[in-house]
Amino acid sequence: MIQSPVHDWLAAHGAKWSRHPGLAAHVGEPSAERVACAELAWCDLSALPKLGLKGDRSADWLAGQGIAVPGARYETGPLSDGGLIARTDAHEFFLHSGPGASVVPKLDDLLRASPVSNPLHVERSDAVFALLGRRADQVLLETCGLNPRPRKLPLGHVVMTRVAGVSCALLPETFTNTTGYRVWLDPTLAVSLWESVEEIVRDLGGSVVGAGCVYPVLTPG
Amino acid sequence: MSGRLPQRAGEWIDRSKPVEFRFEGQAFRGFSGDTISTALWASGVRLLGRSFKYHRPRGIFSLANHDVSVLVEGGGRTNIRADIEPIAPGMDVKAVNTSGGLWSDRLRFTETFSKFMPVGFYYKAFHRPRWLFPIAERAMRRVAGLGKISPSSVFGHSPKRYDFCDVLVVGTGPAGLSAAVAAAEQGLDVLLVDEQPRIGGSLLYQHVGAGRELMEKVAALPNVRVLTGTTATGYYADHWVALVDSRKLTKLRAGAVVVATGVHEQPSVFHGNDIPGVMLGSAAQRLIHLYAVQPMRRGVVLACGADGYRVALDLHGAGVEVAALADLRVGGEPGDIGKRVLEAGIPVHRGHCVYEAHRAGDKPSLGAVVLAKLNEQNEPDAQRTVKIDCDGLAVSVGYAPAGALLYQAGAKFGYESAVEQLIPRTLPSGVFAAGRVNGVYAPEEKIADGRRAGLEAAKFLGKEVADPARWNRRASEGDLEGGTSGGPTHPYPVYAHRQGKNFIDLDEDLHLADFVNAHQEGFDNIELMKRYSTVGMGASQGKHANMLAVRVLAKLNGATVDQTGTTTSRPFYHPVPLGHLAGRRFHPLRRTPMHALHERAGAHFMHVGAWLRPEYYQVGHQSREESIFAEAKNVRDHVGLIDVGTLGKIQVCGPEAAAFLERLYTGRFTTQKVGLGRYALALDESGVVIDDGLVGRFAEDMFYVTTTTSASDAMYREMQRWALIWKMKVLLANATGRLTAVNLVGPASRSVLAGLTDIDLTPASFPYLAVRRGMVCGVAARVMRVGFVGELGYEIHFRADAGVHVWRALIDAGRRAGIRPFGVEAQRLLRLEKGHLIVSQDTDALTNPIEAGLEFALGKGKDFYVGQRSLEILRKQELMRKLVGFTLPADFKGPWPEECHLVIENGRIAGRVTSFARRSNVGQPIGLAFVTPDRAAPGTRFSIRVEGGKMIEATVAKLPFYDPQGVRQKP
Repeated sequence: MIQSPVHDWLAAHGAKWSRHPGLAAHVGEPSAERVACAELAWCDLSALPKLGLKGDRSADWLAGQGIAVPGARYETGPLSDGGLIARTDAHEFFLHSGPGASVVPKLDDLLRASPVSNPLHVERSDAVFALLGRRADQVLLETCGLNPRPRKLPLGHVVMTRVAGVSCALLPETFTNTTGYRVWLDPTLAVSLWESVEEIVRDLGGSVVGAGCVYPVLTPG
Repeated sequence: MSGRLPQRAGEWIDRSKPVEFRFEGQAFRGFSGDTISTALWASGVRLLGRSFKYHRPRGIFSLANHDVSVLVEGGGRTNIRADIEPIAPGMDVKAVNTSGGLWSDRLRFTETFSKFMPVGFYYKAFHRPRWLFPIAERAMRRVAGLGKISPSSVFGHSPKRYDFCDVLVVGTGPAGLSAAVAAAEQGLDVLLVDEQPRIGGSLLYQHVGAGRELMEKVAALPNVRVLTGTTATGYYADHWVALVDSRKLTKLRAGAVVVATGVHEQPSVFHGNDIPGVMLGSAAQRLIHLYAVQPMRRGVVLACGADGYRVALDLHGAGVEVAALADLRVGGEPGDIGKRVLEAGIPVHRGHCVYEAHRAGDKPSLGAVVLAKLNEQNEPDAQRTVKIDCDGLAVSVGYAPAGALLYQAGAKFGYESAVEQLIPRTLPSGVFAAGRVNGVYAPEEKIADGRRAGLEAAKFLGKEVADPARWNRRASEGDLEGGTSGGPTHPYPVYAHRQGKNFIDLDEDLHLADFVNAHQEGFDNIELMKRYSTVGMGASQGKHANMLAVRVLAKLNGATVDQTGTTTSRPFYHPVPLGHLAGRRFHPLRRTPMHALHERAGAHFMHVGAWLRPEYYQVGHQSREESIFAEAKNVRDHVGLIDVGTLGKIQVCGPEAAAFLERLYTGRFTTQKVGLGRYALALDESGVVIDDGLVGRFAEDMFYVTTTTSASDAMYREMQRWALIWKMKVLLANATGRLTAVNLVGPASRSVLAGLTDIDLTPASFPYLAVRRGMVCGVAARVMRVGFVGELGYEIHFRADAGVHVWRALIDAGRRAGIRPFGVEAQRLLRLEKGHLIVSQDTDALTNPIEAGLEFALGKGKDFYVGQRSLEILRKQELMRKLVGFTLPADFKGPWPEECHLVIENGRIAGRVTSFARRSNVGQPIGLAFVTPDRAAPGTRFSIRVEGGKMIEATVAKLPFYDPQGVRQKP
């Protein structure tokens, strides 16, 4: 029942869906995707579970659930299911599960059942994309005014910026076999961003790949 | 290819790749690496273009990207600079601004009337009678001009690009290369740009063979990036530099900038100085060294320094018979290079200028030059002349700094008499100048000056550099050009001639007399002179003209160059294609999750702010109006489903959430019961209506607020602002994008929803204006009973990524009940029938709730809400207008009123129509309009001025038009 904002685009381009609902394992040939992933690729991770928390009790609540909470604003950390947690403000967190998809659903259920408004349960349907490969910076240079050099955009941090005119959170990240950026954004702008970046990626010789490139455990279901 | 020289080291052409192309309908051949101009010149073609105004013949002049009289068009592009555009197989181009072709251009006779076209003639002529000027203007535009844009040409997008570096070095001559190496050796990320296709600058054609070591160093340094074919066209604050190449504009942010842009070689002003064959010395050298093209067969050189002698030797080496070298200096060239010229057998005429250039008979090319002896006042003696037959003249009389970027950065220039050139006296922080733009000319000095600039840039960026100034070389301090007598630039290479046509600005066909005339008319300031004469306003932006204009004006005013000043240099330094400026278009549009489903259902979309929303759904061949009415009627009769995911959705929580909302909105929320929703009206501090929506209370400290589509971000910002100002304990979360919503509405809506939710929908359990949480189609949702369109309805809010699933499920479940989707226009009609206004459509930036009939939403007895105090003041004032409903007769046939048509009373504007529908479920045309209060009573008639100025009569009606008791929305 959960669907990525770019589900139709992926379906129209021959996506092979993984066992995780709505997540494309591959969009092209896996071997070609691996090459693209190392060079330049664009990938949709939107269907993995997400969750937001807000309020000055959020950090303690998360810690109480065994989550390693990032200590400072705009820092990120790993989740046990392969996902990550980002501290987007002093009392605001965003969690994105990995392929295990175990952490966020559990926390989501707990928060939904909670009668209190602090921490505030923030249902998230953000689009999440990944810009992958050695030449990912070239795409950023055509779409975003940030300097992508490592010392300006360090790993383990989240940066609020605009990509192709769309407000985004940008997370430099090391993925399996490659590096790149995770991009979070309002899902209502997802198709616009997806199409703009996809065109640039294609112009630069890259391609769209499935989430199997980022998470090899994801195989076609 | 009669003019092609034997192969030489460093040439840019690839002789193994011949290229065939067409120019003016004729086939030509060149080599890969040739430009259009060089390939044609090598083929013996001398007439390459026509001038802007007089259509005079023009050929190669600078070969440095500034030959704007040689513009061509073809392949859908126009104003292509032939001096730098590479030839390509199959290329088919022709000169711009001709009538009947380049060689037989009918407009060349324009020059015959040049006496009637002095500078600024169009400011004075053809203005009376008044009807004449448009005709004259069209004629002038037809005769004078550049290429024509082809509207049918289709081009791909031009990428937008950002870039970053520690040190930007502009220019890859010896100074630029040296600066880049010095900065890079400090570990900095250096970007080196040059407008030419290869690095080296003047090392490639003027001091051939020198500086190889520097070029190799640059290639070996991994932290130096090189962009050739790239022009730094504009400097903006904080070292933001616009870089333009053939494909795109790059916005570069540098830590520091080294400007080593060199100089523009300057022409000499004499009669006929634009005839094809007359060219700058550097152009002749470029032809020889870069393209292996013999510039002329029998030539003359005009010189004022060692560079001119170097040109003569280069021509001699290229097999040109150098018939004479005219040296403007009486003393000639004393150094070694002077001796070498004499040894080569080149006759040197000291203290001579070129006084005239003549065409070769009727041919549009040079046939001879006349040298004249100069007197002590630097004036030619027309009685002491010598005529020399030649087909080429290389002019080497000096330079002007390519200082545009420095000017734009805020550098202050001053005139340095040692080099007869303006040089930067003070530079802004983080900007450095090096090389010839800095007045430094000797090759070794340029390298040292570049090193100094590169080290200063490194020091500016925090590197520990010991005394970069030790490398300092300024024009006034050092040896200018190893043995040269005087500087490389002549202070006034301008020679009057009784027949004129001694051009200062070749772009605009301005000759010396134009400046004298303008000065006589009182334009004695350089900025005024520029605007009146248009000097420097052509496509080359005065690169060969501006400094000459300053010198001429200085002389006319009896002033110095410093006193005369220069015109303001603004970006762009070089023309930039508009497509580059537009770049790739990023116009993000917001789409709801159900967008694709709407497309498949035949939706016609409309823009609502940043959103795309279904306006209506096309069914069969129904017209727009029929479709909208059918959708609305289906809601009244059965059930409809509308995507309202665009509504603002804001969570407001915390112990003071109710008190916060009560201050923000006009209504009461502290008394609101959990499980109920309330209409919410927001005002600004002046009492103007800015938004409305619904506030649902889901727990004592949890509210869920909707806003209008276009105001969601603004209201969220308002909430954040007020929460900070009031220091209230509230948590705000904008859920507009991550949640979506649909409105299931119509008499059958309850039965459709009942099978899909665990919420008890019975009226007693879930009455009108109640709000509930529960599962809908298996998805956690907030459900609110609302009555915007006046029927039983459920507004369902849920996570956006379940939008497709929920929409499909509702449509499937409602099929038997006759469900169909309805769009924004049907919703507008339905709410109009109910007399509900839409904020920002039926209100404007001045509308207060009293005028809009929203007083019911103002909480009575409240201590405070935003805008309350202003409303109290407004209440004491006379009401100026009132929003009312109106009808037209059921059999009204038009002309129809439209939104924003004016209400007219006694010939004066008394209001306007805000909403209107020709066809409605109440059987007659209805609308909303602002009228004066005395016309607001039901039954009152008023006039609306419709399209074409016709007046129609409307009648004020009581609101709502439909279901006045509201029974349909409250079952």
